Amino acid sequence: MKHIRIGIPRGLLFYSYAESWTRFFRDLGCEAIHSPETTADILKEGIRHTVSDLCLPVKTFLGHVAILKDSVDLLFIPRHVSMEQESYMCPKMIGLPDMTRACFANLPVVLDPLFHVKQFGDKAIDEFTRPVAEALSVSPSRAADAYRKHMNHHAEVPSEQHRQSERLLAENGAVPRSSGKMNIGIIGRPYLLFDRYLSKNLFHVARKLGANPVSLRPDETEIREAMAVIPKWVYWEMGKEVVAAAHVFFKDDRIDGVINVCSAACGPDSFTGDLIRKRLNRQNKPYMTLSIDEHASDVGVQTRLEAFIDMIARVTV
Amino acid sequence: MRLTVPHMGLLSTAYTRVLRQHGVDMQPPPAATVRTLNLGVKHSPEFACLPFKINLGNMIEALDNGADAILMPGGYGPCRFGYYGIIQEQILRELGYRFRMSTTDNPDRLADMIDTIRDISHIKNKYDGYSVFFLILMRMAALDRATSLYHYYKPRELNREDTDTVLKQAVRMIDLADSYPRLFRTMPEIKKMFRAIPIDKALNPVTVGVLGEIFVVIEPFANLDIEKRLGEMRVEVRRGVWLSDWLNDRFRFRPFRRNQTAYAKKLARGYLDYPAGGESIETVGKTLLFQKKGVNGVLHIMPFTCMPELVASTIISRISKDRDYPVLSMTFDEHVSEANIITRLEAFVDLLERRRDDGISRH
Repeated sequence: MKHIRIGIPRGLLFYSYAESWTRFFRDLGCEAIHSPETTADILKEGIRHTVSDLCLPVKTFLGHVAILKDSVDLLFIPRHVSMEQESYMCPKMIGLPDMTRACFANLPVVLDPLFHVKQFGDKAIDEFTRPVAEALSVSPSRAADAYRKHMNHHAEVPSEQHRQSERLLAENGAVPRSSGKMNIGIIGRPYLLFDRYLSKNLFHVARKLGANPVSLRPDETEIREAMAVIPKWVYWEMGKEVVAAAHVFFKDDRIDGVINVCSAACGPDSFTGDLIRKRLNRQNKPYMTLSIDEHASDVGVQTRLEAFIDMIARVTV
Repeated sequence: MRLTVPHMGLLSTAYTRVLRQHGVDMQPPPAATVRTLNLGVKHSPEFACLPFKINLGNMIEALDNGADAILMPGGYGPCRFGYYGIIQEQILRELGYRFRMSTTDNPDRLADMIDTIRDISHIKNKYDGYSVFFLILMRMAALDRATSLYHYYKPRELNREDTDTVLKQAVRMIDLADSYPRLFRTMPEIKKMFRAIPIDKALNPVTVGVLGEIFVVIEPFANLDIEKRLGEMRVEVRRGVWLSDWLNDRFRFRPFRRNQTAYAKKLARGYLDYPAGGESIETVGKTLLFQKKGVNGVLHIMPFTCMPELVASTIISRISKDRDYPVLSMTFDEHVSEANIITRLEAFVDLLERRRDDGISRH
């Protein structure tokens, strides 16, 4: 039997869930196809198909759709509305399947199951997997079970991003002060940080400049602690994680400075950035916002990073 | 306690007088000016949206005028509006202002609204609370009704500014109508006033549906008075978003008016299958509705970086292609220039007129 080829564009939630999704589809007897890593051409494709004010990650995502759409049977673009009771995804994620359909004239079938814990509670996974099961003609219970197995909510997701963070922490978290290297906490949305093209290979550049870049996916306790410090629960799923990571880094003495990587004109980040700067940075640690758009260049990022590192070196000496 | 609430279209006219009569010391912010906007922009995060900046400017000016309490509706996403109050409070405290801040985090729940009213006023009885709240809602509906009459008469007026004068008068009359009977007596009078405006009866104006983010649509200061400008170009505005509809969808004070959000959701199916927050679903659904009804084109306006409307804008540009239907999206922020807006509007209106006269439009 020929496998159904399911396309998963490498963008946005891919960086949080790709591995679970891939295993999930493999379990259901399908082949999951990822688009390659972002390149200038992919981004150009995305820009060509979108309205100009959209944010960089969404444009990139649509670029991935453009190069993936002709080689797959189905496109998997889930509609994540809420991952838990207290939070929402950004509106652009909620409208992502519809936006994708609007941007391209000839698409394969878009599989856009709804993930909405706020509405369905414990039934969210069943609701999410039912249309998938229908499209792949497997039984709903089998799909739901497979999903539960591979997607134990997000606490245990062995996603690419998570793994990368863990590795970074293992490498760098324990670095003693005396090694002379400074530790820089890097916060931001996974789809920006871990897309090497969009983040201009930030981690690599920082390491080349003699610093230890550290990133972190906060766990539930860390999120609760951070939310207790600010006046209101941050209701954007990813914004909340960025705020919590910032909180951890500001408290941790081993971290010498924090860089917040965000895409220009990101709605939630325009607010959380303000919260982080004013509410969380009590010790006045060196902090920089690096905002990235389609005009960002390797050299620009490198220059700012150099300046930031020089500044920390001068402060700590 | 001198209470202030940031402006949103004509909303403050609906509640200020009524609440004052019940012992609330209201201090509405002065009407927004360039100074308001500059103050807001100066202290806001760079990429915050325009309503946030104007609201912040409102707050600063009201506090400078002696207000010492701010009421700001909140909520829980996904649009940024629910988080406005938190960030604004933080900015104002940093500027050294001292005030009490209350945010109603469930502005959709009737009981919470009534509690808020009882909290700030002399009203202690629950039923009086309901009575006052519904009077405010009815006053808002009356203001919207007057505005829709304005949309009809403005392009047809023979003497420039006649309609504007009447609208101003109508708003004043609704403001003074502080009880249900007075309000009901006022509406026929207002209609009579509009009917008395000398108009060009032969004129068959081009119609433009105005849709988008609600604050920018209903606040003339934010959209550079776009509805008036359209009227002056002899265009009849069909506005698709009304504050009274938004309120009615939640509080059902006009039982015979259908729930507009639910309606839009039905209309939008196939293009936007799930509301992406804000007015995205209304924008998509009503673009389709306007097209079906033969409205000549849609003008979609939103603040720069508005997340829900960017989703909508992407989708309605597809609708425009699919159905050969003119749609113009415009973003507004502090850098918008009058010349830019007028030029684009004129070009759009020219296009609509030519299409209509050449019979290109399918209707």
